[in-house]
Amino acid sequence: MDLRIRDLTKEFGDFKAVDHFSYDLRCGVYGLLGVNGAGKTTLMRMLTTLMKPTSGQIIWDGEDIFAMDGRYRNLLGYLPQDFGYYPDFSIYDYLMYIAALKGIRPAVAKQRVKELLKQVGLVKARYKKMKTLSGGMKRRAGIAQAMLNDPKILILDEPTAGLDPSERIRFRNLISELSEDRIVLLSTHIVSDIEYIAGDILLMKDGCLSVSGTAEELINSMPEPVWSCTVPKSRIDACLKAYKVANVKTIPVGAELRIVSRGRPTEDAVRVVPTLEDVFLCYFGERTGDSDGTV
Amino acid sequence: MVRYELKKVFGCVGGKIALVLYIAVLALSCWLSSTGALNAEVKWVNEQGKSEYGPAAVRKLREAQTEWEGWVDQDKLGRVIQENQRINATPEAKSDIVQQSEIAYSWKQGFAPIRKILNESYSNGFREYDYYTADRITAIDEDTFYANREKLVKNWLYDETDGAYFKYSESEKQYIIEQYKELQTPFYFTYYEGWHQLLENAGYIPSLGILILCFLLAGIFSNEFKWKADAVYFSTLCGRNKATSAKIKAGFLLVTVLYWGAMLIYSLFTLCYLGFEGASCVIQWQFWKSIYNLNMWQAWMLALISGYIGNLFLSFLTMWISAKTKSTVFAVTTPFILIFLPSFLEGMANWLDKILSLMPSHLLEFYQNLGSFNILTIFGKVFRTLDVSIPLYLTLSVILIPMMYLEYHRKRA
Repeated sequence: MDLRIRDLTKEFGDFKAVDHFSYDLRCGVYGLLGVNGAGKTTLMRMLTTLMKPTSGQIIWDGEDIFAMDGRYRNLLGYLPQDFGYYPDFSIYDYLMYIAALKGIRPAVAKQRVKELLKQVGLVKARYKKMKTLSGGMKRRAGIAQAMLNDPKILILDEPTAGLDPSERIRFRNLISELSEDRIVLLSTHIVSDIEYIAGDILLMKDGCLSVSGTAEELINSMPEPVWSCTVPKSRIDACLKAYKVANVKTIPVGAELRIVSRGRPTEDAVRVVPTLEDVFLCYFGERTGDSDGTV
Repeated sequence: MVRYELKKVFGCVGGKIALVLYIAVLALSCWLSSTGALNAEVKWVNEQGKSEYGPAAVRKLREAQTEWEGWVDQDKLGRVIQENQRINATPEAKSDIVQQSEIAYSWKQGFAPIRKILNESYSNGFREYDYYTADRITAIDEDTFYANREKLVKNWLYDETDGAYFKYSESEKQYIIEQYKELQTPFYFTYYEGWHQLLENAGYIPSLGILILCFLLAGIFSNEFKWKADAVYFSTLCGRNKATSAKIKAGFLLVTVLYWGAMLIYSLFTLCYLGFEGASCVIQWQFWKSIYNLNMWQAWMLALISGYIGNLFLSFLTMWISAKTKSTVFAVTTPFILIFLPSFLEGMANWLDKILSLMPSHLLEFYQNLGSFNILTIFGKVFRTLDVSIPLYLTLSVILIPMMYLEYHRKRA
């Protein structure tokens, strides 16, 4: 059971959204990390056959997924970033309809829907209309639909976007529960979403795979160390402009900064143990939207 | 899957309102046919010259006209003329007081339809109608009565001062005359108010109903994109094949069930209320000049089929546009244009009129078009437009099915 991505490229005119991306996925949870616009969604849409690549191949157990057509989609569970639903359907109707789309016989579907509603904690709300649900409940209904066919490949595109912290934790745990015996590819730009549940993490930048590995491997292979230092208020701005600053904590005498930098930023700076967030900042610091490099 | 597609259509408030509106159109059609409010009122004028309405009036009218039932031959025509003359000689008929005139009219109700076609047959010109023509006839000949129809149309077609002379080619003129010759005479008369009203008001359900149907169906494909449900839909096993077929089936089922259901209720209501008699009467009782030689029953069957094909075509077209453009608004606008545009453009040019006569809107008001002279010459052969448009739009409807499927099948999120 392996999904091989080979030299995958998707071009929109002159713009390369995905640029010669190659990676092999086997059983387990994979976190796809990247800033907005890194090409995560385009990659996932190709993995779900919604979009054809300009070049390259995606191979499932030795067969091209586009040639497999329906057979491949039968193995697939997908929760898109912009998860749409039928506003006037109840959760139960929605899941039964998606089960029909997935070719599941009604009798089997009923049983499966019942199990999944229990698993995602929506039993009591099953007859509520989709349009009346909270963001978290909609996402849970979304993961339930993705799981209906017990997929071998589960693709979750920014599944925690817009959720409050408790919903995000709940969702993370749910994904962890569902990840047995399948490939789960989860894209996000929120580091904590995948820090604890992903086996391998893929950092994507400008359509390319920048680096990959376990959280530990990524932390250990960080090209720049992480520092902690205290600076007076007057120097905060200068530091923000000069370094990739992971954190600013205001204290009475100034601010305590967490900085990712090749060199020691201040004389009193001490090295600290890096985290995955520091890795993210190290690779994507310049692309976080602020010219000063803060996250 | 079809059930869920229908649930998507009717689950929202708009869908429910549209269904209520469709029922309202049905109710309006039933009311119009039972009262004749927009054409000839269904009424009985009593001995006091007062109008009566309702089931009792229908019963009295039926009884009065049943007395005149039979072949409209020399004998029947003579009796009608004689009776008409007798009534005209009464003080009530000569009176200028409206109520007195109404009393005189009440005695003519039994043979009023025969009197009407006497006016048609003996009119001074093909395009003229004088209500009092029959009152001026004192003696009649059966042969002249029916032959006048053909004579008048010939005069009209070959009158160089009339537009028809230039409008129709020689072969088209001959075709019209041939249709006139083929009409079986003498006519049979019986009470036919049920069929008359049924046919007169038959256009409302297909014409107004299709706007509602198109509104319901406009989102059947495009709403997947509007609701952003397309990504999940197309990434499933059946999203690009069976589910797309289910959408087409749901559309077909929706049009078929609503149209035939409404027309069945409308037919039964009208005929049960006004009577089933008169199915074998020719439509010339209402459309004296018609080039279609049909009886009421045949006209009704064709009106049903024609309306259905018109509804089916416009619904499928709406669905195809919905699949093609992913736009509900664009999809719902197109049928409106196709239905209403001809009425704005008609009469601008002869060639344009011929094209417009083939527009699907003519299928929706089939009965009204039986009275028109829309004919076409295709590869040297002359056709009545309704003979062309029914198979044409049936074929186009069938062609739209794979077009819809392929269009949506190709779509990706």
